[in-house]
Amino acid sequence: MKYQHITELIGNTPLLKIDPAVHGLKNIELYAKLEFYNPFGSLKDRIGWAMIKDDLQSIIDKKQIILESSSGNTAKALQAIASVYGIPFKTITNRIKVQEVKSILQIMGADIEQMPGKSECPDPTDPNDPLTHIDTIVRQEKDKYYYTTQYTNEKNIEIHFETTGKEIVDDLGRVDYFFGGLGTTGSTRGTAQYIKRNNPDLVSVGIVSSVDDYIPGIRTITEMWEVGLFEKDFYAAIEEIHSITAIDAMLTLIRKCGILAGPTSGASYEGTIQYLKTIDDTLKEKKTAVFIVCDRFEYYISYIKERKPELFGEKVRADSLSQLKESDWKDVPSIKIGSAEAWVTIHKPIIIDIRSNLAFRTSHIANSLNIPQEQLTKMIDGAMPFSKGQTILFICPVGEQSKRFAMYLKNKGYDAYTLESGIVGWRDAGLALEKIETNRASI
Amino acid sequence: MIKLTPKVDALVRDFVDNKALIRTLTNGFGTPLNIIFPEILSKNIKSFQDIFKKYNLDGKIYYAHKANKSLSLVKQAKSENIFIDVASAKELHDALNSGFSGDEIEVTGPKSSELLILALQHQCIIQIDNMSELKQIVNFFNKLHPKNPVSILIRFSGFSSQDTKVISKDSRFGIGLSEQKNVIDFLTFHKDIFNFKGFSFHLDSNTPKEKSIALENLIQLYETFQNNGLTSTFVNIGGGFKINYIAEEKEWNSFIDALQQAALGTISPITWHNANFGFYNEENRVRGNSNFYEYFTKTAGAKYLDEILSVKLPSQDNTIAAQMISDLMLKLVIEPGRSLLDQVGITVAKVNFVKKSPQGEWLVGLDMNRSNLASTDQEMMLDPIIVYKREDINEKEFGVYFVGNLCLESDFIYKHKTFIKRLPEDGDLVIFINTAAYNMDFTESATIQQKIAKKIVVIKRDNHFHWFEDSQYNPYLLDEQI
Repeated sequence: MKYQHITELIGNTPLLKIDPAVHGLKNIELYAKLEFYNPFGSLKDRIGWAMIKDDLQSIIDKKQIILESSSGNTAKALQAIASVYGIPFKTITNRIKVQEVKSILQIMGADIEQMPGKSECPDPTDPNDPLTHIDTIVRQEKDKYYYTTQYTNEKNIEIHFETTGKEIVDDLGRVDYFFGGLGTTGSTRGTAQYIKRNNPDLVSVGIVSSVDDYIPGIRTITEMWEVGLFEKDFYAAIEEIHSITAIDAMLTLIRKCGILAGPTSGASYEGTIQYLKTIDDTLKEKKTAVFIVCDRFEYYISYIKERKPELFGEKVRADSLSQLKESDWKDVPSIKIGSAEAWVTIHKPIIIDIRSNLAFRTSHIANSLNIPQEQLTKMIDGAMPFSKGQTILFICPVGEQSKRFAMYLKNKGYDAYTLESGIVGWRDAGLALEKIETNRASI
Repeated sequence: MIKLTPKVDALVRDFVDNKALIRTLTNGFGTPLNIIFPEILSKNIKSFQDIFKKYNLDGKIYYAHKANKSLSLVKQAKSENIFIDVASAKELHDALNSGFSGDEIEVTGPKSSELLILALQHQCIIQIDNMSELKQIVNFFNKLHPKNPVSILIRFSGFSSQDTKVISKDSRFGIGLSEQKNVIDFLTFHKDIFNFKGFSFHLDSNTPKEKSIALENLIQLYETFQNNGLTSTFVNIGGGFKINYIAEEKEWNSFIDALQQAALGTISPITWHNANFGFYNEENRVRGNSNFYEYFTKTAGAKYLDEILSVKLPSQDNTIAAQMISDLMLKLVIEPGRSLLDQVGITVAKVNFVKKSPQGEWLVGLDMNRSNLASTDQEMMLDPIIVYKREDINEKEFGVYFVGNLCLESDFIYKHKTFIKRLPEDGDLVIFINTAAYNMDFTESATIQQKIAKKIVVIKRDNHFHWFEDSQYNPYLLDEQI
């Protein structure tokens, strides 16, 4: 299929039926609207384009900068489209919590400004949310910015009415239940309004994250009042989902359906199942439900890692260094500070300083070698980087962390020691330290 | 019905349940009356020390005296072998009078000449806020000729990050990073006068990113100063470790939700004159942020310190902060005020009257005023406990405002409504929980010659309560007295 312009690829995404064996609902056919088929990877491509397309020429003529408060997909879509037209884009946010999302925006060339977090001692006269901050900027330099205002922009609703909702009805006809995550609420409102024209009895359910939890792109119920487009009564129910359950549901979509959905879509799927499970048995006739899969999981690996580290667990050898327990190093061979200098002179050990590179650079014992402990652990667990004839002295800050290394090597038959009370003890005893001269930290 | 049920320590709960004793004390000393439980301090200190241990850090706790004027707490801190942070000449007197030696005292905050001279005479550690302080110290040093050079920590502010543009607010505290060279030149020129100990930071923002930015700036400062012969041995990360006041997260969330809805007008006001507390309605959406303390927080006190110390530093290969601090052989100084006083005190006031406002709101008038409970113009968002004189009265729901004893329209103890099951009457007692940290006497004033609350120290031994006037309490004498 030939296309002339990347924006032509926005919309017309597929609807995939979820196997009843996966969701377990008897009377409901469940479809996933796969929004990650959009060219920039998410549902937000639709609004990114809709919010600026009518004014493109004037933005270019006035040399304006497109401005939005987005921490993810809207910024991605706006940046992609803006780049194609040579328009600069800037996002101001306090919500970027996933490193990859930020890295992706940086690769794409976005100008990101982060708002500071709330202070421990808030100044009562200081409103500090990004939207207020943006308003101030825009008010001060009115012509410089084209502010897309996704949280209040009616085009955000209209585009989902005209495209997302229409596509679903064209493909399925009658739809009885519709589920979507609540961020700006534009997608759920626009889509559901169109479906309602076809079936006034449509039940719309909004998905939010548990309070004090975080799911990318959707809000908690207490944050919803900040959203200009939000109308609580529009939804038959609002389901609160915790990020861990969202990730579990995401894994179901990935591993059982081949849908490489992200955690937010997992939350939508979980909310869908939670809601439908309670009514499935009461139904007398077949019903149809749709939920939104807004984007893919690859952008959220660090987010998933933080919440489900067990997914990434590598098998650890039982006799590896990291398996050595504190109770195992009581009899660690150690050198007392008082005799350390003489001992070093006599035995000429390899001195391994396991602190960070920076700490080593600023201060270390003469003739020592710096291998930070994480690297050293990897080296030792991979293949032992020492030979047996050598005497080895491990240096750490206070003589605690080095114990593990000395003990492990001793158990393996090496002549290894730890410096009791570490480099701090060495310094406090008035023994000499040296530093590497660099130009890095010049004023 | 909106509830903000306070967390209450078991000891405090026991005391509150002892109505006879509370009556005795309030009858004897009048109200408002502040009750202090110094022994709870030990628990809070231990929780911080456990975190030092977890990371093998050489940590030092400096109790930030400014959180409460009580002398008994200063004495308690001394008896617990921690250090003290003072911010005025009178606070320094308190510390010295309670047995702290000069080298156990850190002088912080804006400083008068009187305070600087006294700090030099007692050889306290001084936290430097500006260049002018450095110059004054040189001047006084040359007059006073103290035995040793003056130990100083330098507070810098205005941090920036290489990988993220963070819009940061200006600060009235500390020396801007751009002045590093001036500081180094000055300290080098006067190297016989100053004993440079290291840097001081405040990491009170609630985002890990800002904390890591400050710590990365610390590393840059460390190296720059070291390259100029000024090697740090301390790093002071300040206070701001927070308290969690509220028992149930759900209640806090419902309260915030109600404030937002009231700002939108979708529910009737829950604050006097619909005071917005930072939220406002703009085109039917809520704008702004709450402008009060987060009385509910999941991570407070020692747990918050743990979170700061485990922050990863992207520019240092994701080494955690604690590792970086110990790798650099730095002693960690913290200055907890609020978090050290978690659960340490309560404030009791007699009910003077209960009445209805002309527009039908219930007002409970207390024998205290806003200055007896407010901290930096912020009210507590925490339900008090009411001790009723009479029993057996049917319960139903009331929303009340607690008002004070000043002839001012603005003198509300709480401008937010408190929902209670029974209206109090005159002579009943209202007990505000967990007030020792900043809420007890931070803003107290004797306006219109209303009395200032007395402080009574309460301890419990062998199931019996013992009480002392604040100035009479001495932890070293307890064994003989009880």
